[in-house]
Amino acid sequence: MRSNAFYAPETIQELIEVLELKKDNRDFYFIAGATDFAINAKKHEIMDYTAIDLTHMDELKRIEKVGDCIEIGAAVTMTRLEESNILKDHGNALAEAAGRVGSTQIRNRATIGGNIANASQCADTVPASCALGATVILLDSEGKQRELPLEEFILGIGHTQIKSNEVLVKIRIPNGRKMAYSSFSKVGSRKNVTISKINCAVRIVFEDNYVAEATMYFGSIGSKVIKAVAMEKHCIGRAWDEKLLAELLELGSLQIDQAIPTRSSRHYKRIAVKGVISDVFNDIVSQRGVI
Amino acid sequence: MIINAVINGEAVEKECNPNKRLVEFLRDDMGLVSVKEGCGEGECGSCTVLLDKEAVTSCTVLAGQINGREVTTVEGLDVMGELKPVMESFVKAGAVQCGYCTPGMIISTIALRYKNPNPTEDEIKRALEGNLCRCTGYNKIIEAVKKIER
Amino acid sequence: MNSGFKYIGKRINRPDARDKALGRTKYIGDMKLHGMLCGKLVTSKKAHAVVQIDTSKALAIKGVRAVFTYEDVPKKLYNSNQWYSGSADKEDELILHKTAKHVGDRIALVLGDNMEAAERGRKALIIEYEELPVIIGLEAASETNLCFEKEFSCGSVESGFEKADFIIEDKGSTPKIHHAAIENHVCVAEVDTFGNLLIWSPCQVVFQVQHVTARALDMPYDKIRVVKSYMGGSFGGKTMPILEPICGFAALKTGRPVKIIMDRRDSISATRTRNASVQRVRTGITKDGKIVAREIEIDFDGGAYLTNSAGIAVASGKKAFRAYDIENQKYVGRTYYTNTTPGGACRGYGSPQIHAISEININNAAARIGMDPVDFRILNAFDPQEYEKGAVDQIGMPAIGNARLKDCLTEGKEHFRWRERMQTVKDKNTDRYAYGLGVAASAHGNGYLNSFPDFTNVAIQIMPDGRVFVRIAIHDLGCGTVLTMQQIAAEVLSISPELINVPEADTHQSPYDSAGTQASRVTYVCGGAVKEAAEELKKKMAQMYASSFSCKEEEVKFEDGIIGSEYAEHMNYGSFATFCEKKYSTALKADLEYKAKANPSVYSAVFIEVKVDRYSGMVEIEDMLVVQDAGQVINPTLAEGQVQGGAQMSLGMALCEEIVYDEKGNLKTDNFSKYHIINAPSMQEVKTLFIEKGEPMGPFGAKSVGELAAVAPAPALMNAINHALGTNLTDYPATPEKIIEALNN
Ligand code: FES
Ligand code: FES
Repeated sequence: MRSNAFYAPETIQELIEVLELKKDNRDFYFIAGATDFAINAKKHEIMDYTAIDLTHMDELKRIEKVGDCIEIGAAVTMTRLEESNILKDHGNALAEAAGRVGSTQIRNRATIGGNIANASQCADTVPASCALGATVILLDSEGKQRELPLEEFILGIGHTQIKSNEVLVKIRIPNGRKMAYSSFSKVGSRKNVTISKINCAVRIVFEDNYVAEATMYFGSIGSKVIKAVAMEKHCIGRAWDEKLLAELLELGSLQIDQAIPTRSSRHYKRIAVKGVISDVFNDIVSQRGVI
Repeated sequence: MIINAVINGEAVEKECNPNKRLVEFLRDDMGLVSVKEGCGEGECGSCTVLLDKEAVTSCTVLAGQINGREVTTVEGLDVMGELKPVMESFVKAGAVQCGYCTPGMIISTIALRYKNPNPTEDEIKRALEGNLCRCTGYNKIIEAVKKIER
Repeated sequence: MNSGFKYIGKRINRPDARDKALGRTKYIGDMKLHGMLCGKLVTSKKAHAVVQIDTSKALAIKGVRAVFTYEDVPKKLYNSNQWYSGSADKEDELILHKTAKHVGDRIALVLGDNMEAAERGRKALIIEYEELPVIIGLEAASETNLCFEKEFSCGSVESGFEKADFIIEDKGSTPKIHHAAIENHVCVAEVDTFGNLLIWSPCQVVFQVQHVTARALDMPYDKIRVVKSYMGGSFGGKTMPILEPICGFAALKTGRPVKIIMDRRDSISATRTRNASVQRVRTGITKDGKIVAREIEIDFDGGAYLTNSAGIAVASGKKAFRAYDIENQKYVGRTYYTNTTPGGACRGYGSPQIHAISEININNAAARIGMDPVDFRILNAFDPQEYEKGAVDQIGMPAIGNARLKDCLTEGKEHFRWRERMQTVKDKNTDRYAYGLGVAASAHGNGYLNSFPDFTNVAIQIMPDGRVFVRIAIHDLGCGTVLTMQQIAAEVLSISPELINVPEADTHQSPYDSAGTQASRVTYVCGGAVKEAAEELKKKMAQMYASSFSCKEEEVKFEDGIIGSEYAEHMNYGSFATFCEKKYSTALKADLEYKAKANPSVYSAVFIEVKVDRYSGMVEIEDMLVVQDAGQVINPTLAEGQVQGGAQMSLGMALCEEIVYDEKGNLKTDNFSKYHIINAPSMQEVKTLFIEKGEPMGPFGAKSVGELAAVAPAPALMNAINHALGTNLTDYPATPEKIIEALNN
């Protein structure tokens, strides 16, 4: 039946009340940037539904340091992520990923909460957040919060651990004391405004010019992000030089072969992966040069 | 739902289905037909409007979401003020052919100038990356944005 | 050329640009008429199926006013490609079909009080498909589905190949392409107070819309009035009436104005496409670089209806004989039915296809003997011909005229610093990036002469206020056609273009025109007509002035809208018109039917430097120069805009544009996120250079620009990519996947 109700909670309390209504209803949709929703509504001819607009939740639009973490509200837009000085300093990969999502108009609307909760395999902020060790915080209709690692939160394409009475409210990134560098890159079908065919995010901590910690994720390959464990290990104790790069390029191809051994897209992605690895590698070289 | 918003500088109170897309609300309910629909999926930019001074594609915004916000279309820009140099530069550079993408291009240009009065060529291209044009090959549009008089 | 003109060759601003920039221009989608219904076209989701539609639920929805299906429409076959009554194209379309032949085929129309009601109605239709076997792609079609075949030849290819030292053969393909005008297809129809069916359409040929609608609805031509309205781009896509017959039908049936708007998916699936092609090119050359024989075979994917199946095979073939002087040549073009969106006119009409593979093949031929590809082209290019009435080319088409392909190549080579760059470009290579240079040339036409009727009528009149009113059925597709006509008339009449009004085509206001805005005929033919009419008018003015004020005709001066002579009175054109009306009981007006006098070629040469990412397969253009043989540029801003816009389309064909179907005929590229056109960050500056050596029969020496612009950039880019990578990519588009595959083979 035609409902076409519209809720625009402004406080956490109001949000909890709407969650209570939502919990038994299938036609409730969270809307923030609505950039994905608009496409889906068209495709599935959704004409009557209840919208829960999150863009009036000022509390969810902040990026702030809380203790030794950075907390990012789910309604923070890609533009704000990209421009955030906190992120540039402590979560550069995420700022870069946000800057590569969609177009200027889309980045002005699309939110990190939406990008993550829609669980598209191509979402750029997901590998970036994973590389930064992100967790997600969910709020339920009773006002309780739970926190879980982002990687566990996403189950597959379009599937997450979110329950019908829950909403994603925050992304939390540990703000390591140590000096870490992070970077993101992607390859799509064109330079700008493109959906990733493959993307990559890394976080590297150096000690005395040698790699002490390395985290590397690839996205848009399978249904979930891939943690490149072999590559991470390979970096430890190494200098960040051309020799390491050459080895990482080969390992990258191997990683793709292992991840999607039978898919026809493998032929392309096992080479394209070298592009994103080179990009993040060189980006970190230049970041270190600057600092 | 009654929508309260500032549209083109005027406070508007209007009864409307909040789940309607903003592009339809602006065109059908407000008669602001400079806002064009070319794809309905946020890919072409011909429906670009300013929402709180930022460029957004109005086909991916719900009418209810503008409650309490400010929306501006080309009709609402001050023809003698901020719009004049942009419009004149577009006309002079030959940046307008069929004109269908033009209002969206102009809104994206205005939004860029709010943030960055002296954009480089790459910044211009990035600001217009979400506005497709099939006629001009963008060259003259970029030239127009570069040459706007200040 | 370009000597002493006041308005020709000048950068005059478009009169329509200001309103467009201010968002004040009303397109058809912006029209609101009292009592207007909104129509939503319902299209097939299956590529081949008998359709059964239950409309009862839809009709029960509030606001839904009518649903039409096959059962309701006239069973009068038509062919949307017919632009005049003499067309030989066979008729196989109906307003709505019972058996859908492609995804996107028209099967029903829902009319509602507003768009939402129409949408709800569409959603409530119960559509059953009884699926039939499908044929998708040329390979599947080649056995059974031939619908047209055409051969052109000159000399004897067999003996030509015998003389050849080398024979170079290439096979390749070009994709189906979406025109991607940003404005989707749209139409408004109503019955006016005189009982005419009034159709508002952003079309390219009002008389075609009239003809096709008359056929489809079995109505008198003169009761159908078609008004060309502002259009948000066409590129050939809005040439064939798609919505007009059904919109007209709905308006007649309901007695209310009806507006039908497509969405992007409909525009991609339910209108027309550039015909895909599969080709084989064989070229025989001597060791010193002369082409002695060539054989081209092209198969075109015509899609599900006949539409332009003949036109595409013919038009494409003719171009093969216009660029290079090849004594022995044979062309065979075939068009096949498939269960995909029908083919249609698309900027360049066959030229982008015929040059796509042959220009790669030319490069390979040059490479075989170690010759520079630019020099190889210069060696084989046609020389200009003196104008001679009735002269023909190798296959009996009108002569190529003042053909300046050689100039395009030599001047372009110089400007692009081709030779130096050839020597150094590879020095830029890194492990990741490869650089290369590419060149390609192309030929295109100027109208329909010797193929179809090519004439237009024009009436030009001085108004009492001194303004000039030009009636001619022109259609500005966004290219600036109106301004072009204004500048031509202004130059002849010595009056500011702003004072000249050239309204766009309206079947009930504009005099008859045989072919509309097609075939690159507008500047050359319609512009020629305006010039001739203006000259006739001027002559008449001079005569009347001379006899009124007792001077010689030669003494009469025309300047800035003032007529006079050294010794007699000066008056503005308007006063003179009133004076003549009183004194001679006549209007200051000229009226004529202008027949195309020739159909010369236009040429381009495109030079590109490219950077290819060996990892991602992404291609970036570093530098690009387009040289076009334009005869005489009427307005450099407009001409450059055409070249740059054409480049955007052509480069898209080389890089990313491709309509893709799965094996069942489902459309996979149904929106702009899957069908990529080039956006601003991916578009480099397109430098332009025009060769202006005048075309004898063109207005002030002008000839066509816009369609040609969409031809050579694609093969030039392919050649550059192949040069960078040492590959021989011949299947368009060169997607990153194809590039990586080619590199690793
Ligand atoms: S219509 Fe909104 S972006 Fe295309
Ligand atoms: S001017 Fe036609 S789409 Fe841009």
